[in-house]
Amino acid sequence: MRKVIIGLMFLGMLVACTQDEYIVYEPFTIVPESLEIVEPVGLKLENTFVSDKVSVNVKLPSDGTYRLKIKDIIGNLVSQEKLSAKEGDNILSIYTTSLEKSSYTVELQTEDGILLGSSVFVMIN
Amino acid sequence: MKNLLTMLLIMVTSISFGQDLRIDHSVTNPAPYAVGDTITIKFNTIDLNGSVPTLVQFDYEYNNKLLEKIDHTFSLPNNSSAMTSLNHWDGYKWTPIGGINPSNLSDQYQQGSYSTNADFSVERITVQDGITIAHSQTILVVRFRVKDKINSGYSDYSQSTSLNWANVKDNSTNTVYSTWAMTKNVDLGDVGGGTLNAVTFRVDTPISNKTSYKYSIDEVNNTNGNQTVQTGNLDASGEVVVSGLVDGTQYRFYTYVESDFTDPQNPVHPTWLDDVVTISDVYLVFNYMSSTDIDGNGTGTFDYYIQKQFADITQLQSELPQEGQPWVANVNDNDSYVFLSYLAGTLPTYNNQNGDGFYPITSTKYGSMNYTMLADKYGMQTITSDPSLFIPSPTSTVFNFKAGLNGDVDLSHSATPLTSGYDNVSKSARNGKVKSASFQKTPETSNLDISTQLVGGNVIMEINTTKTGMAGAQFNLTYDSNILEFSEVIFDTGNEMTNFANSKDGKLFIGSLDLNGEKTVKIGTPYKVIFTPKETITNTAGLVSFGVKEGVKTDGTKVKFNIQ
Repeated sequence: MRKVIIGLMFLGMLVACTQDEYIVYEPFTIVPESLEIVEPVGLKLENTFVSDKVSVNVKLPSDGTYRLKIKDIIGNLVSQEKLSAKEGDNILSIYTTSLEKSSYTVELQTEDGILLGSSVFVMIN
Repeated sequence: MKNLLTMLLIMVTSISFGQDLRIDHSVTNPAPYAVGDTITIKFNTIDLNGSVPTLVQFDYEYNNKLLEKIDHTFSLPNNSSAMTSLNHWDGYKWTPIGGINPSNLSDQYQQGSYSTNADFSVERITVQDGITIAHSQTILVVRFRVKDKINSGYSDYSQSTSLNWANVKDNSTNTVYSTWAMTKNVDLGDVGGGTLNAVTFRVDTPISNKTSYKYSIDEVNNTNGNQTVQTGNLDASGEVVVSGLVDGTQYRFYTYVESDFTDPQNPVHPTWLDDVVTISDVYLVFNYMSSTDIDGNGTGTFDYYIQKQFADITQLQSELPQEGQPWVANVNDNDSYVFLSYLAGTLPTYNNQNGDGFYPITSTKYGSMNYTMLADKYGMQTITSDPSLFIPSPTSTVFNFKAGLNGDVDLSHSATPLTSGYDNVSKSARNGKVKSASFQKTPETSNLDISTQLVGGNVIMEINTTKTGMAGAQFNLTYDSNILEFSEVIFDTGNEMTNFANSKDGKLFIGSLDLNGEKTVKIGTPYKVIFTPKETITNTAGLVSFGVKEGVKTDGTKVKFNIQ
């Protein structure tokens, strides 16, 4: 009986000392085909023609803070978002209701002003 | 010789190799051309290397001193379901990037840049389809009227239109095609002179979208009353050429910014009218009043008499000029506080039907308040007759006018008079005055950081500045009111500034002003705007756009902010 108890205690210690294993799944972004970017970094709009908003993929080299800038024909900044985003694909939206009906360039920049990608869109009248 | 020919053949092949397609733009009417002629320019692509584009996008520009655009039509007979768009801007010219052939349109895409140039207008053409956009079909035709080059500053028509850049690709495979210009510039060659019956009106206005001005020519007839004989819009350069006026007859010419009066009770005015009267105008009026006595007799001065007219927005009916009498402007405290209340959004509601609560301040609230006068009469204190009358004759076929907008005290959207405009008495009386509401017409520029950010479920917009010495600042913002609700502005401008925040229908006007011009806006983050989203959002790009963003220094100089 004593051996049985010692055996059970030993077994209990073994079980207690076994490290739990957790499998951590990295959250991943499903990227529609129309927004796939082959290059390691960049920016891609779902469509050149935009009514009230358009999906955009910003593919980033690392986690951090970036700027999404909307510029008019002469390069004046008309809207800007300071964005905290993760490495890889980030599916976001660009809203256009507040903009005058026109054509604009959207740029993705680092906080240091390094251009990572840009594209032109046209607002539907 | 054979070897030489072979070499040349190889060279030519090498040069053209790599080009997938070309964009052609050419005049379809046979030369020669004369002033007043209508010409048609068509655009199409020509394939060189089996390209199958589904997106064709390009910019071109035209010289608006030499050409007046009439209209445009998309053609695309083989792509009838394609999406098309034409964007138009006046007052810009393309500068190609160095080191790349300007005719290499695809390599110029997003490489060169635009700069302001009042002589040119830019158009962006975008065509997208689910199938291949066929080559050699006419994409677009644009009709122009040929203008006289006399006094235009151009000696020939060699660069009447020019292709700037192109972005042509197959969206399905993301294949970008190398695109070159077939004809970079359209040259109209020798253009014949116009007839004397073509009377030219040139309207001086600093606004960029000059075509938003309508003109009207009335025949002045003391017996049968006045009759409108010509109307239309100014062209991109602020000019119009008309025919049919009678030699020796008196006419009146005037211009006005057009509004949409489809619903007369709720007219829709151009949004840019809210850019006309800003913090720098209001500051100039307060500065003027600070050296004017309580009776309004005035020791304050403006650089130009017309500024005084534009500042006099509480003018009584009895003060309006009578026939043969000069226009006497009288600026007083009421004017300055009405200006400030306008910015702060605290003026009484304007009743469109009975006119109650009306102030002649150019804005989307009241509409445009227009002045048009012959250039040598514009803003002259001594004018006692209608300053817009003219009589054409074979020797008088060109008339120069100047246009301004009431309330625009700093003349940001109004022409500058040829002289100060004060009569001799007033001019001599100005000598030795204490404080002038003078200003530098050339504004200073200063960098500014404005951005939106999603923080804790709210959209936060911060305005950060390092500019010192500003007696006031103003920011006009537009936000997507379908998605955002304006919550509050947190001011950190200093303890003694008068701050204002005025929100209505997706517009937000915020700013500050020290009425005495002694205190200045604190640097750092003087303004933090908080919006509450009405729906779940993951980011904020485009939800808030920036309009007017300017300051005014204590000496009255305007500060234009350049957002980084």
